[in-house]
Amino acid sequence: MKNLFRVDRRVALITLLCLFSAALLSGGIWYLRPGGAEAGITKESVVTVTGGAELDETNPGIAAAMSLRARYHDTLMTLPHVLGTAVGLTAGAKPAIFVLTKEAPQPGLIPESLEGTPVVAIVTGEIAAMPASAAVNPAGYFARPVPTGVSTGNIGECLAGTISARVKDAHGKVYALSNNHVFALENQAAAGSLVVQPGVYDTSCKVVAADAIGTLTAYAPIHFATGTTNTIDCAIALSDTSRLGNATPQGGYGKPASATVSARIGQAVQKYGRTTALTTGQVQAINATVQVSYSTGTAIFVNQIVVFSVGAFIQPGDSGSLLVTNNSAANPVGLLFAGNSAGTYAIANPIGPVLAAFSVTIDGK
Amino acid sequence: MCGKAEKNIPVATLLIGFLLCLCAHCAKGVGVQTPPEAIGEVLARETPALLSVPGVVGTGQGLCDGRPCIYVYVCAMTPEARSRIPAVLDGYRVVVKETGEIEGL
Repeated sequence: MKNLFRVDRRVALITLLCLFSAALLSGGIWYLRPGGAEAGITKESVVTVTGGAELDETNPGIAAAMSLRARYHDTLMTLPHVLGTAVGLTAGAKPAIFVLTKEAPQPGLIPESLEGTPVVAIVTGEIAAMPASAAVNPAGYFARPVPTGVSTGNIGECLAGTISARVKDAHGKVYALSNNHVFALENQAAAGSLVVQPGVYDTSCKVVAADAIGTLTAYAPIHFATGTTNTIDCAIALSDTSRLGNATPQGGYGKPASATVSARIGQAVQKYGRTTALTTGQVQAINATVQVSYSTGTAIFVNQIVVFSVGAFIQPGDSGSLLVTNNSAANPVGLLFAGNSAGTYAIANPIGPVLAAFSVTIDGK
Repeated sequence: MCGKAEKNIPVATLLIGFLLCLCAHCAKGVGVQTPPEAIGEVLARETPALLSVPGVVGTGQGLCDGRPCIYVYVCAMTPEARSRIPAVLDGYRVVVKETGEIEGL
């Protein structure tokens, strides 16, 4: 019978950490609970008594409390309003069993100690799975490897665009894909110049070389001269998988498919970008010829995709966003680079010629 | 660069536009004849002329009521754009959309 209550140490530690995190996440309750012996246990006091040291299961006191908790867990869970158990420290820095409860327990219901180890009741309230964070800001700094669909730019100018996707070549090297006018500054940036996340505009125009995620490798020149036409506005920056991921932040479509598809009239599409995050629209026209205004001048683009949306599909800073199908496959369709000021019309290069220009493929799912 | 659309269009312009439309309908027989030429070819041939109309910023191939049609994107709907953009091109319906200027974002 005793073996039934034996819990693998790793499992116990994980349980402990989960419950402890849950207790922490329940937020502020530790401070708010009125009265009771355990009212004095706050996040601060726990930190204070340990003097900043981190205790794990290698500490004999903690290990003993853990095995005790494992043995008594099932029994404790049968008590009214008990939501979980954990191992922590009392205000006096003694290893203790924490009993997490939905509401203040009846006096005497929870034992003060078990086999000499203190028991502390902590009123956490109902513990629910945290809703997905709504606070993701694609214009901000992201821990490395950075997601795609977030702020980027060449370090040489105060601007911000969007990381389209992670692409790879035949040798397995990976690159960040975006527009020429984001990574190569409309043909002006030097090969090898740094590409940063976030773009310099999003660090208040302050140049932070440590934000580099890659170096400009190649770009397709934009032709501005009268009588010339373009098909693509794109550039790649050499990166690596430790600095560049291949999925959008939470709330986006995640990883795009590696397999691309051609744009079709009426196709439902989506994009994730630095300014407007996830938006959806519909392909209104293909084979489009569009006159696009840049800071350098006007350029004519042929064989483009026109996306229409009743609301804003694209805004300044979304340039470079990957246009993908609006389904779970998220097949890449195009590379967004332009639009009208309302953002209701967006222009995308077909993805095929973009990838062909650098002999790369989408490094997706 | 992109001028505001004029609100007061002279009646004469409207009338001319209406007559032009009517003529186009008579000549081309919209929705009756099967266009003899592929839309891509028509677009390629007609786009330079369309882009030369002041205010036109783009053209594209779309679908209107399930049939291939030509979209013409204009910076602003000016009387000139109205009068110089045909309603039909080689049997394909032309739909004009006012987008404003298209900029690299």
